[in-house]
Amino acid sequence: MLSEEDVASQVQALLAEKMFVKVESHETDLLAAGILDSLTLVQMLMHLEERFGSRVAVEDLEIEDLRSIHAIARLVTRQTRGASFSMHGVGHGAGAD
Amino acid sequence: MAQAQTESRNMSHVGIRIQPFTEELTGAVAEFNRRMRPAKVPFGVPETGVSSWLPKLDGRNIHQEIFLAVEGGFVRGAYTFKQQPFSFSGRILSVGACQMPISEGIIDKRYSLVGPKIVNDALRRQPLLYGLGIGSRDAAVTRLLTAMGWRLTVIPFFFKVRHGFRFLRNIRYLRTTRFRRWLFDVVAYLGLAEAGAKIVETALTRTSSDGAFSAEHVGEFSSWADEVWWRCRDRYSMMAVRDASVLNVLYPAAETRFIRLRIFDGRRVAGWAVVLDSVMSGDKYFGDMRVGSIVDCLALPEDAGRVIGASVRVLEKRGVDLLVSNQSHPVWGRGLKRAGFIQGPSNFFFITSKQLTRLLDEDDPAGVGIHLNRGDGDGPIHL
Repeated sequence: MLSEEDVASQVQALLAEKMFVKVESHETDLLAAGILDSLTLVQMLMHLEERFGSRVAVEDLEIEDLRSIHAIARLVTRQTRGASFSMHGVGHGAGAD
Repeated sequence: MAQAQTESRNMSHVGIRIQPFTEELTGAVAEFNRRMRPAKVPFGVPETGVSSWLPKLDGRNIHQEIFLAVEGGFVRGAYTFKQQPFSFSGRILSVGACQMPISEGIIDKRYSLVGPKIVNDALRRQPLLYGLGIGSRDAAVTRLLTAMGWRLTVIPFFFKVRHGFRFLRNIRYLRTTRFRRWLFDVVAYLGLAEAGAKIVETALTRTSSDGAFSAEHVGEFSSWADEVWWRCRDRYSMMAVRDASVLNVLYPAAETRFIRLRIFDGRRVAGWAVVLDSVMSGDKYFGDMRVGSIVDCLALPEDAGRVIGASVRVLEKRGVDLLVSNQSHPVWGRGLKRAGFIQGPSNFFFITSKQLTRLLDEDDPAGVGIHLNRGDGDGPIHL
């Protein structure tokens, strides 16, 4: 099982590879830095689902869950450790869009 | 920035909920509209929870509701949800339209999640979901929905110029540069536009009066419209239910601007059309022209061309300067072209959720059997 810090490093790499966004620190405020808007947020959630194999329930998300790489890593870790994860994801299936 | 982050973090404890518009939120909606004004979004959230067009009434299967994204008493976004039965080659299913979605995320990135939450909420209510009439590929909502895997298609636009002079003097959509305005005015005042319009009309119009259908004005739709509906319902891969009860809701007799036409082939009712004859005033596209539009129509595909022909003759006799129509189905498009219309650039988009896209792909992967026009979605607004 990946540690939260490992996940954070992978999220940082994913942002660079898939979205061409270089984030200096795991604590950088992605909103204040102008990196996230509704479109990039959806793209990022889809990449996270693809990379970590868990779907993200948009209706349960709060912006704080996505505010920094550290927050995103915490979210991913929480969800991948969850025994059951029933949700409407962003990129897949019925009601997921 | 620090203060904004603190406020955001405090607000995030409250969470954003999507809920129906209730009366106590009227003030918060007005405040939201005020905050959104600088974003110059071409619409606001209606400041009443009851749709003036399609209120939710007992026994009515077509209605609109407004849902709000609320955070601790503040409205952060909204959308209008239209529920309506559709026929998929004769199979009747309820379909939702997500209309006028708007999010405070446009002006404040702290609310970037509102857009996805709104779409997700609409999908939870109805996975078979579409949007119609989104005016730009670059609009935030278009980009968001396509990023979420929705499919975008263009509903073709057709137009026919009747009075070249007034067209060239008023068509604001084309009079965009000083040179174009000068050129259009020169052509108009030299009388070339009238002559040109006549030449184009003569060259393009291929309908003759032989075997032509006739049109009769009607006050409302009744059993004859039901017969047309039952005849046509399995001849299109997707179309909104258009029986008499639905048509009388969409085009009520009390709305005098709607011209309801029953179209005859001899004594047989071949179909119907709803047309508008609108005198524009300072319109951003049409200036001060008199615009005739074929808003909605239904007939068997083989009768479509002549139903269009009869509808066009009604509008031309009324003296319109320009005729317009958006039609998705090729037979209706061909009918318009036979009546002298030209296909123009269209910004009338049809965007479908993954679930609806999958359903359409099962039966009509090329989408050539879909019958949509300005009678769908938001209805004939701006016409």
